[in-house]
Formats: sequence, structure tokens, C-alpha cells
Amino acid sequence: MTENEIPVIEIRPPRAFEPLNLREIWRARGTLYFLAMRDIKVRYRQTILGIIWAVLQPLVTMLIMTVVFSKIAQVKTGGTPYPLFAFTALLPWQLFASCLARISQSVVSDQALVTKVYFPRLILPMAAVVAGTADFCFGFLVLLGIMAWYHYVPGPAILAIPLVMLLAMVSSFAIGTWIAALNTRFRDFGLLVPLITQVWLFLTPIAYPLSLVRAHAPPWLFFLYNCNPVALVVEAARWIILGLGHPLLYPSLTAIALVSLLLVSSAYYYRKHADLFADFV
Amino acid sequence: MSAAATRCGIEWSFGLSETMILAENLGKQYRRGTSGGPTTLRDTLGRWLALGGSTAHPHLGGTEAFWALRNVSFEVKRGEVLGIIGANGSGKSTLLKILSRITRPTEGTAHLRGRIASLLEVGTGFHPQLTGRENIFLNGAIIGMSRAEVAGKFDEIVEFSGVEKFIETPVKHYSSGMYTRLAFSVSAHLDSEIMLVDEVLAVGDLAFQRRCMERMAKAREEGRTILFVSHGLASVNKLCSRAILLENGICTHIGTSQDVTGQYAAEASIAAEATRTPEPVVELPAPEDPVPAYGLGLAIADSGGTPRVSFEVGEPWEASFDFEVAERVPNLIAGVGLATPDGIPIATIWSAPTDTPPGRYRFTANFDLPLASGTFSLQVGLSAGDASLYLRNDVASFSVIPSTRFVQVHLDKGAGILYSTKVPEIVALGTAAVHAG
Repeated sequence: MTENEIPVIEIRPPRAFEPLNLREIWRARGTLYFLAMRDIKVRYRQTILGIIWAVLQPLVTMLIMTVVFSKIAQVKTGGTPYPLFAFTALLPWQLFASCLARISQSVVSDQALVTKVYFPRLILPMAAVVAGTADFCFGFLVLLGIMAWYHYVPGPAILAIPLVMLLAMVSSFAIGTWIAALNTRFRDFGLLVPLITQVWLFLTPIAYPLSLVRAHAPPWLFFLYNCNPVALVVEAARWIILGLGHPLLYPSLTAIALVSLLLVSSAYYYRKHADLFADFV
Repeated sequence: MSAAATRCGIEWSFGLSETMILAENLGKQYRRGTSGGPTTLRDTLGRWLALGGSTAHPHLGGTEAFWALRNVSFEVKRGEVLGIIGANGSGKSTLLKILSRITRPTEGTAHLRGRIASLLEVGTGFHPQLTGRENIFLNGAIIGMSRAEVAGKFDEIVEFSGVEKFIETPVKHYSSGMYTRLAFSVSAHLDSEIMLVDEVLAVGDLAFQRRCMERMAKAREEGRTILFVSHGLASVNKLCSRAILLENGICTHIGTSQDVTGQYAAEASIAAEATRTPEPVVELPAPEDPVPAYGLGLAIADSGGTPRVSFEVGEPWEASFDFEVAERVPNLIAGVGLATPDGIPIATIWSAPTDTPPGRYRFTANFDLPLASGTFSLQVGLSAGDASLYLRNDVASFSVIPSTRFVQVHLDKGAGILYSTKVPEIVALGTAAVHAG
């Protein structure tokens, strides 16, 4: 190695506006890969049990929803079997919710790393999102099973499912990264996550169809309701998998703009505080 | 001290082609109250409300700012080994944290040329449920090795660690020795231009400490640049060409390691006499986390049982270690260790392994060693078989003062840790030969 090839590392105080340094993150992709693999391996180490846990939660939630919303409350889903209707939405919802939970805790749960070794800190929430996709993959197999049970043949649109996943992951990353950064300063921010998730579940058309909200809410509230990025995720999943109505254009664009804004702001906020995490965790 | 020990900042040159580390006016400010750990939003909001909506009171609510490090400047050339010494809380760890980029300085800059390996982070990121193989790749990636690099060195790493047979076993089944060896082996195989070593972290496991030292000596021979943080003045003198002394976050001396360690020893002994009076009976604080067994106290006494901290050369003394067993421990072993003030172990006495029901116990260790005059430190430990349950270093100290009341020995300062009563005669070998050349 010649003198010129050796990189010079500059250490200086944090600036008011810290660049994201995406090139450095790209160079550290190996770390991201192994951290994500660690989470996945540890989760599925006892193979059978690990997979069962991954699919049990959406399955049980689906069963409860079927009993409460379909059998008792008599919610109409326009011809689609209710279990299939609910599970199609629960799957991306679960991806969003579990990624959100993992990301929010990512810095705190890996504090042994954060206090002892340097790597670009944005790797932590990124690895959490990647690890979160494993559950989705197993859940997707269950969805195919349920579809087969009801003799439902999906169209080619189902191939767009990675886009739905991406939107769910980006949304959880945008929100979770804010929480992860705040969680290092104020430890009770992490406690908010289950509460946020619980409220969010019911503000999203998962257990009930969107038409029910349209029938009861004034137009402005209905518009606002559809600006929820997870509502877009869920509606898009039903659209491409079950062939139900497509998401509304303007609320969807608003939701995407909202997520983009959150994504950029969270990345910068996180970056600005990331290198001082070790002083707080 | 000697004139070669220059005040910080004077000895300075910019030969950047050979400069590996250049630190300029590094400073780190912490706020008391926040640096002690994370706060909660509830507390912060509560404080904010109590102050009538104003957060602009840095001295209210326990957020007093202090400098853990200030105006620290130094330069390390290629192949140089720089020692960093100073008392606890003098800023050594803060400096290492900044240079290894775990945290960032509040002011000043540093430039480092090349990759940094630090032996502070041995085993960082190891996951108990993953196998040895998986952990090697994970840990390698975390400390900055590419996958190809780890793969290329994999066999070497495994061989060095000596855990070949168990490489597909989850590391939670490893003994602590195997675990440490594997972890160290990964860190030791990172090719880096700069190495950061914190000796404090190696204390407690002698074999590991020796490996660190060997690794460091090898790195020095290879011409790597090393920053060595240590309490042991002897090892700084042995390994480092130059040293800096930190006091309360400020670099007070920089120069050859002999001069700086001499300066530090002189200041430390003055400070020690002024502040620390050794106690013959020491109470040990209860551990924060529940453990099956822990120490209660340690007492140093003469043969008549009177607690004392000073003995004459050759005078018998013993250390009584009281401990509590909270839950039944099979094969409980109590130990008392004797060490120099530098932390170099001299001897350890262990009890025979016993199946021990809950209760309070005393273990008395009579070392019966020919200690020469000097200061000595005691450590205590409890373990269940090979697994350590409790370990405290430098619990108490005592001194041995020169005297001929108990033994007739020739005692000069610097004669060593132990004395010998042997006085062999000198035997004549014949007339002196005149050597040619």
C-alpha cells in the first residue's frame, strides 16, 4: 500500500448541519449485512419455533378480527372472504409495526456496540429494517395458503408486492429513526411505541373496509384519514393482491410526501446526534 | 523533573508525511446530569415546567458543564508508541473514545492516517447464540474488515484462537477463556496502521493481558503506530518511546516516557500521602446486581489479630476476607491475591472448593512470603469452579517498612519485591585472565 492510498480520518466537533455521508454507509454495507443476519439467525435459530412465532401473531390477530368484526359486528367486505381481507392488510401492517419496534430500540439494544466501536450509526436502524423483512416472507407463504384455501388466484399485479414492502419499510424507518434518536436522550420515548402502534392499528383500514369510513366521515376527514402512509400501504396491498379498489390519488401523494419529509428529517436528525450517542446510552 | 519533559504544546513539528496522529486542542465537554445516563422526557418536561418554560439555565436542574478533556495536542509519528498516563478521571478514556470515533470532541480536531484497530473492543458484538464461525464474520465486519478479508484470514484466526473443534458451536457454550481467545484473535488480525490499546481493560485476566502485550510488541516491531493507555508505569517505560501525562483533562507533560512516568510517580506519591490513608479494615460495597456470592469486607491484621496497615520486614501478617453467599454455590472458591501497586500479581491463595450453603463466611489467607519493603495491594475474588462470581482489585493496601527485628537481611531500596536470607560466600575461581581485544 502506498502512502497516498491510506485514508486520512478527520475528527472534529459536530457541525450544526452534518452531511449524511452516504458513501461511508455504502462502504459499511458489510456491517449492515452481518448485523441483519445476526438478528435473523438469532430469531430463527430454533427453526420450527422461530417460524411459528413469526406467523402466529398475524394469524391469531386475523382470527380475533374475524370473530369480532366479521361474525359479531357483521362488517361487510364486499364479497372478499373476511379472513383473507384482514390477513392481506395485516401482513404489511405487521411489517411496518415490527420494523418500527425494532428500529426504535436499535440503538439502545446495541449499546454495547455504540459505546465501543465506530461505524456509521445509520447502519443500526437500516439493519433493523432488513431483519424485519424475514417475518414478512414467512407470513407471505401463509397468505398464499389462505388464498389457496379460498380458491383465490392472484393476478400478475401481485409481483408489485416489493413496492408495498418498500413503502412499509421506508415509513417505519422514517418514524422509527426519529424515535430511536430521541430514545437515547429520553428513555421513555421507547415506551410510547406500543401505544402509538396500538392507536395506529385502529386508525388504519385493516379490520374494516375503507368504504365504512367513507360512509361515516365528512370528506375533509376522509381525505385526512387517507394521508396515513400505512393506510396507503394496506390499500395498495389489497389492490394488487385481491384486486380491490386502488388507493386514492391525492391522499396517497400527500402520504408519500409526508413520508419523504419524515425520512429526510429523521436521517439528518439522527445523523446530527448519532456520533454523540455514546455519551448518552 | 528533567528538562526533556517539555510542557505540552511546545514540542511540536509538522512533518505530515510521517505523522500518523495529529491532535490539535482536543476538548470534550460533558454536562453533569446528562452524561450520567439518559434522562426521561418526563423529567425534562417536569424541569422545563418548573422553570416556567425556559431551558436557558445551564446551571439549574443539575446540568453543570465540565471539561473532561481540554486543549490536548500531540503528534505521533509512524512507528512510534505513545503512552498515555494519568489518574482515573484524568481524561484518558475520553481521549481514546474521541480518537476511536466512539464520540466526538466539543472542540479541536484530530487527523489520523489509516485504519484504526483498538484493543478496547475485543469481542464487541459477539452474540451468544451464534456459532464461533458466525461471530468471527460478524465481529470482523463490525470492527471494519470486509467479508473477503475475514474469509482470507479465517483459518489463521481460528488457529490462533485454538477453538477449531468448537467453531460450529454457539459461543454461549464456550468457556470464558475460549470466548476471550476467539474474540481477541479477530481483533488481532485486523491490519491497521494505528492501534489503540487500553491496558485497564485487560486487568483481571493475566493470560489475556500478556497476549495483549505480546500483540502490541509484535505490532511495534512491524512499525505500526500505537497509542497505549496504562496505569502501569513499568509497562509504559518498557513499551513506549514517549508519553503524555493527563491531569484533570489537561495534558501537563509530554516527553520521553522515563521523564513523564517519573514526573507522574513523584506527583502521585505526593498526592497519595496527602489524600489516601490506608485502612486496615475495608468494607466492600454491596454489588448492584444480585449475585450468588459477594464480598463484605477485608481486614489486614498481624498474627495477634490486631488490624494494621504497616508491618516490619519479615513480620507475619494475614488477610481475612468476609463474604456472603446468597444462594447455594457448588464448588465455591474464595481467593485473596497480593499485587504490587502497579497491579502486577505476586501471589494468590485459594480456598479448597466446597459446596457452600447460604450464609456468611470468613476466609483467612496467610501469605507467608518474604516481602521486602514497599507498598502492596490486595484483591479478593469468589468463584464457582472455573466461573468467576466476584472480583475486586486493589481493595486494600498495606506497607512493609525496613527493619531488622524479624529477619537479618541486607535491604537496599530497589532490591526487589521479595528478600532472601541467603548469604552465600564468594568463591575464588583463580587469578583474573587478561582478555585480548
